[in-house]
Formats: sequence, structure tokens, C-alpha cells
Amino acid sequence: MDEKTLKRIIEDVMKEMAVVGAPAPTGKPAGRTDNATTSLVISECGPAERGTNPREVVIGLAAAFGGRQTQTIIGLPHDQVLREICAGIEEEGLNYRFIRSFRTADVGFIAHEAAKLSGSGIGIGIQSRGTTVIHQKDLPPLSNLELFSQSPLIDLETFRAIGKNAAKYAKGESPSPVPVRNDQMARPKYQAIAALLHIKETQLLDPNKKTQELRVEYR
Amino acid sequence: MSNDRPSIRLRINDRVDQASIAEVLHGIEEEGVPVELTRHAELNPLLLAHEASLESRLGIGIGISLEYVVITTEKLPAGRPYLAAVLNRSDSSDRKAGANAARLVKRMPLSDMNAE
Amino acid sequence: MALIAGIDIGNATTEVALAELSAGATPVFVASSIVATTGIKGTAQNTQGVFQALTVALEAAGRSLAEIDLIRINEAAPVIGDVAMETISETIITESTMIGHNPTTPGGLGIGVGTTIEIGNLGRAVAGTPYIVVVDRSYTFDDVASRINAVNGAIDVTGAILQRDDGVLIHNRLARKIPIVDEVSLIEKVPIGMLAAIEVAEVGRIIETLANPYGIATLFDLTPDETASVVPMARSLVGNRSAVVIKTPKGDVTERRIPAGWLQFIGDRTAEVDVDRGAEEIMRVAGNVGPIRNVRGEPGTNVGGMMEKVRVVMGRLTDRDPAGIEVTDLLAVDTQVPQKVTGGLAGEFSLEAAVGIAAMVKADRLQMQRLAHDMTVQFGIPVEVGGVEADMAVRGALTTPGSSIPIAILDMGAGSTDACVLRGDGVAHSIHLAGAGNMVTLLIQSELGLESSEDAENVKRYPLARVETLFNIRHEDGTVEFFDNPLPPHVFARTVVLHPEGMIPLPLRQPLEVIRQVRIRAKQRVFVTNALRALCAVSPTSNVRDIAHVVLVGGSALDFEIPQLVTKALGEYRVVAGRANIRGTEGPRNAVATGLVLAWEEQR
Repeated sequence: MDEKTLKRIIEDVMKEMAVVGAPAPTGKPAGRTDNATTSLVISECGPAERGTNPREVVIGLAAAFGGRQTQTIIGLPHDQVLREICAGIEEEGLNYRFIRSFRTADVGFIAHEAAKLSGSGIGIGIQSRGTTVIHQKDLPPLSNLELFSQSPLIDLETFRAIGKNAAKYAKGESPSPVPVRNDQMARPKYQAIAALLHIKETQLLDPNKKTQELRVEYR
Repeated sequence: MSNDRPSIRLRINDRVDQASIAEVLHGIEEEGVPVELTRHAELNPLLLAHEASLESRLGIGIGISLEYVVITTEKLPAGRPYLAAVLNRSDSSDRKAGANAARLVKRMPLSDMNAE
Repeated sequence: MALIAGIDIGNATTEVALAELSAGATPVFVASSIVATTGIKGTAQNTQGVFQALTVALEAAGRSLAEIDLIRINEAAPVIGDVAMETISETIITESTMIGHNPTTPGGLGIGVGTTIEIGNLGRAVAGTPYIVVVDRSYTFDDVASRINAVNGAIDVTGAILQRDDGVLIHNRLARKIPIVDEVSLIEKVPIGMLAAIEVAEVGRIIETLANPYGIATLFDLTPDETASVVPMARSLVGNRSAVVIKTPKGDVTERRIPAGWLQFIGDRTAEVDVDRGAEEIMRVAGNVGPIRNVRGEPGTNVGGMMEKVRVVMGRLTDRDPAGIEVTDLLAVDTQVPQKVTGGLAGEFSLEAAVGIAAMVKADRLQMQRLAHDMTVQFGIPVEVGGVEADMAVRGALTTPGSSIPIAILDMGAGSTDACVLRGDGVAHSIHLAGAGNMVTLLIQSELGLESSEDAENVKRYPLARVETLFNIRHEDGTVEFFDNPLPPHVFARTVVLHPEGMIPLPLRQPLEVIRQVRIRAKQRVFVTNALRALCAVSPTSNVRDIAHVVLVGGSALDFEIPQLVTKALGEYRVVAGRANIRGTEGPRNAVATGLVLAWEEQR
């Protein structure tokens, strides 16, 4: 390589270096995944019943999840979200089933209801935008085992960990909580969108409709 | 020649004379970090810096050639060094380059080599 | 079924609560929205923001403007707050001595005492007398080292003071090692021919002799009176790794109080206090005059100027004579500010005492009626002014799950902290206090010595981290975060603020934990203090404990740690305190807008 070319290469490198800034610490959001060809088909199978199997975790979906809404606030497809949670539970050797709540859009109450219906006493609640709670039936509704309130910061890996932890709680273990990236600017930044998504959820509420057992298929 | 003491490795091209790198060496010395110097036929300062960083037990390497001083760490690819500046722009900028290499080792904040 | 919009026009944001009301049923809230307020609160420019907020809410609910039956806006009580910082002490070096200079790479080790001599004059030095050489930047380190080595054995050189950052370089080349202090920028001010002492401690340690008045007395053979006079000097050297003290005839380090004017509090009684007595004394005097009706500051001082400014701004806003506007609350906070030392030789800083002061004025009402009328005409929809803002806020706050009467809301804004309590009798009492978000920012800026208030604002809002290596940062809570790509040189090894758009390095040398404590203490000294002051004032028995529930609303309630600090502090009084959660979904937002809708429903 001759000197001139070499010098040019080095100058290019130096120019590039001058442009670099420091990244925002929350990392890239997952964004739309191009290989999402499956979608959720969710059907109701009648009022949800309390389970007796101590090796199950009940997953409670908010009204619009996997139906009117199909992605979380950062574009994660709902089918992938459920797959991850279920994978986490399965890895721990437990079962799962789904219910949907129509009386409330509050993720804590959904999770608590799921916990009360669950044979293990452990339930997960998820809203369409991604906000998730792990709950236990003996705890007061406004409390929780783990709370993931910043929906923009929940990625697929976190959902997997949530499933895993819920299963561990069901088995009577005390897992370390799933690490949550803190970004308290996520809330104002996504606040308007979150508000819209929440409204879409509440619009489907029906105070007279009992919580339903669901059959969830991936097609 | 090669001794086991952890040090910054500085590889300079044969054409570079000792006087022009004096202030870079002083910058390192003032920060109290040892440095070892070797001469090479290689013309590309990016490669010199990269090889130096792999050789250095402190993981920091400096390459000087073609009027550039390039500073990098063993963790980065040759084509993307961490710091680079024009050699002999001023005594002060040369000293800063040396000091910055040492500060990478010491994990202290760096000076802006381009500010004057 | 009617579609009603409650709209809260605030200083910074305009919020909407949209609800469907059917006769006899509780209102169903279908949408909320929040946009930046356009124009100053209470003026015609607000209309644009109102329209925008309505549009966003309507879209979310899938309804149109034409479907709205009524719009209710808040009766706003304007509050203007401002802050000022008064330094009340200063350190002056009356002759040349150095304090607070702590170069990063001094040379050598130990203590050297000698007479100062310019290095070029070493040739004229006398044998048997110890010397300390003073070297300006015209000498290279090689030259300095060889000159000192040349006289080794003949002349006793016991130390060196350098202008250049060459301490280690020279030390490495000396035959006989001596302590060296470098980076003295104003070297020409070092007096020559005077007795001086240098001390350099080992890496990671601090000096012991020059930071001790008896140590200095020993080295310079001082009388007891002279020893007393070097106490300020010794004190200012505590914690340094290196130091130089020069014994000059008039040499002195003095600390003076700076007169900063008086404050006059007018209540049932009247009392005056000098600002330089400090915040504790100021607040004590303020507390002794009964309910404050007005506060005046001495004309021509910073504090006096600040008071004038808030009166003028309010006068403009409400179309009144500033002279008639009363400052009804003031909060003073003791703090420290790094100030450049007068007479310093190396650009040293010293922490000086200072007082941060926030003042506040309020008026009864803005021209909301006029605004309502204008909007009715513009939108073609009836716009009415709802009840008192504080009332509406409390009603909205009561939609927080778990709350009940008696309840107090604490609205923590940027310019003022407002509280309102609703007891069983249905009567709401409110109070407005000086000292809020802006004061927190000012305290942070002053105590850290930050030049830019934007940096201070960032420190206030976002957590910190330290960039430890090329690929990881350590968050302030100790957790470590890794990155795929190397972090850029301008943040390497620095403490950074984790702004959502990227890491911002801070131009500070203090360690992360110190910065973090400054941030937390600033928030505590403003918001916890005001939370207690407010609750004390509105409680029927002037006892904080009598209010069972406190909910926090407003912009500062969104801060990542302020609500927790208040929760913790009030918890000691067995008060349930926490960030509001309006309607169980909105967090601390939308209290007034929600309240406007609920209040209308109630009165039907």
C-alpha cells in the first residue's frame, strides 16, 4: 500500500472518530421484527375457573391484548411476547394457561386475579403496551412480587425472564428479581402513546363480563 | 530487550526520529506509567498501534508513523483505534497524547488533544 | 349522555380529561391528554394549547369536537416564584500563600523548608542556607534538573515550585530527591527571598504537617499569636496531597463575612434580619412574625433585586402596580459555593458559605373569565370556569386508589410548592410556598460549582453513572451495564448523567457519590422542608400527623426520587404519602382536569 492511500485511510478513520457520540444507556428498543409471520388466534372458552394444579402459572391478558392490539409500545409482536413468557415457564418445568379480564385494565388487578385463579397462587398480568406484573394471591392487590412498569424498556429477553421467575415463585423458590433498566424519562417520552394505548384497552372493558378462560394458538 | 514489567508499548516507524516523539514520552512519564519503545519497518500507524496494544501487558498501545500518533487498546480492531492525533502539532498536544495513553491505563479522564 | 372536557391550564402544561356523563351514573373517563401550555397561563394565547390538547384527547376517544357539550377550565391562582443565591463569606489571601491547590502529579515526597529563590539565581546562593527553587515556564525540565544536580553537595535545595506540569519529570532526573509542587499558574506572584515550606504526601494520602497549625509553627518557629493567625491557612490545606506555605511579613489568609443586605418580614409583628446571619436565623425570624403578609429586601442587593423582579412580573400579569404586590413566603437554605480565592496563585477555589433564597408572590385570580368567553366564541362550545383550582385538584387527587378524606395534596412545581387540604367538613384550605424545582436546580448548580444551569438541571433529573472502562458503566446504584461498542473518549472515566438521548459527561472532579448526595440533599432541603411546612400550615392543629393521606402531584412528582424522599420523611409522622395515581392510571397528572369533571357531575 502506498503512503498516500494509507494517509487517506487514516484521515477517514480520524474523521469518523470525531463524529461519535455517547449512546443513550437504555440500548436499542427491539423494534419491529421482520420475521414475525405468526400471529395470535385467541378464543374464549367460557368463564375462567380456579385451578388445582400447583404446577401452573396463570397468565392474565388485558382486554385488547392479541386482538385489537397486536404489539407492545415498542413494537414487539404479542405472539412473540407470549412465546417468551411461556418458554420461561416451560424451562422451569411448569404449565401455564391464559385468562382475559374484562372488568379492569389495571395490570396489577389483572395479575392478582390470575394469581387467585392459579393452582400455585402465582399469576402474571400483561397489558397490551407491555406493562407486566407478577402477583401472588395472598398479597394485597396493589402490591406485587415484581413490577415492570416501564413498558418501553421491556424486551423479549425480559419477558422470558419474567416467565422464568414467575415459575420459580410458583415452585416456592425466591429468585432474584429480573433486572429492570431504569429510565425515568421513558415515561414522559412514551407517555402520550401509553395513554392512547391504555384508552384502547379500556374501551374494550365490560364490567358485566366475567373473566374468560382462553385458548391461545399461534398460526 | 523485552522485559516483563507491565508497560505501555510504543511502536514507531524506522523513519521517525527520536526527537519528534520526545514530548509524547514526557507526557507518559509525567503520569507515572512505564513505556517501552520499539522500532519497526511497518508504515501504517493503525497497525503499529494495534500490534503494540496486543503486546502490552497493560493492553494499551501507541503507534507513531507518517506524522500520526495513534493510541488504542487490545480490545479494539486495528481499523478503529480509540484515539488519534497529528504528531508534533505542538509540544502541548504531544504531551496530552502521551498523557492520554497513560490515563487509559489509570482509568482517569482524558484531555482533548485537539483543543488548544 | 353528555361529553364533558375538564381542562387544566397550568404554567407548563395544559391537561384534558374527557368524560361521558349519563344521568345518575359515575362519569366514564374516555381519554386524557397533555400538551405544553401556549403563552402565559391566563392569557388569550392559551387557546391554541387548549385546542391541541382537546384534539389529542378526542382522537384517542374516537370522538369529534362537535360532540362536546361543555368545556370547564380551572380558576387559576397565579403564583410567581423566583430564586437567588447570596454568598456570605469570602476567603482572601492578603499576601502570597497558596491554599487549595492540589496538582494531580506533584513530584517527590516529604517536607522541605527553605528560602525561596528564582532558579536562575542559584549561582548566587549561599552555602549552608536551605533553598526552595521557584521555576517559571521558560525553563525546560531537563534544564531544571541539571541545574539542581549541578549544585548538589554545595547548595542545599530542599524543594521546588514549578509553573509547568513537570513535577514527576524533574523528580525522576534528580540525584537527590526533593518534594516538588507544580502547575502553579501565577508563579510570578510567589514572593522571593521568603521562608517557605513544601509538603508532598504519598499517592493516595494527605499532608499532615502543613495542615496542622502547630506543624506550621514548628517549621517556621512561630509565636503563639502567629500560630493563631495561620489557623485559616492550615484548615484550608486539610485533605490536600501537597501544599506550599510561604511566611511573608503581612502574609495572611482571612475569612470575611460579606454583607448581603437585610430582609424585613411583616406579619402580625415586623422583624429584620441580615442575610449573612445564615438561613437558619432567617427562617427563625420569619417564623416569629406570625402569618407573613409581606417581605422586603434591602434595595441594591441581590435579594432585594429578586423581590422586585417577582413583583414586577406579577404586576404585568395581573395588570396591577408592583408596589402593591406582596411577597407572602420565603424559603432560605444554607449552602456552600466554590468560589475563586482572591489573591490565589494557582486558581484555587474555596468553599464559601452562601444562602439560597426563594420568594413567592400570588394573586387572587387571573382573567380566566375573559379567556372562557373568548374560547366559547372560538369553539362554538360553552366554556365555563370551574371552581377554585385547589378544590378541583383535591377532588381529582381523591381518585387515587387507596386515598380518602382528610387528604392533602402537595403540588410540587418549578416555581412554588402548593398544598391543599380537604377535611371532613368539605372545606378546602390551601397554601402556596416559595421553593420548588427551580430552587433545587440552583442549589445543585451552586454546590457543585457548575457553570451551566443546564448541567444542573440534568443532574437533578437523571441518574448518574461512572464510565469505568471502554465498554462498561457503573450506575449510581452499583449495577454495571455493558455496551457492544466502545464508549467515546469524551466520556471515558468520567461521571456522566444518563440523559435519555445520550450520556452527558460532567465537568466535575468530585466523585459520583458526592454529586449524588448534593442532588439528594438539594431535593430534601427544598421539597421535604416544604412538605412539612405546608402540612403544618394547613393542618387544623398545626400538626403534621393529623393529615392521614398526602398525595403528590405536579411536575416534580414525576422526578425519579423526590416522591420517595417525601414519602420517607412523612412516613416518620405516620402519614401515608406518595405520588398520586389519578384515576388509577394517570400518575400525578390530570388531577385538576379530572376534578373539574367530577365537580360538575356532583353539582347536577
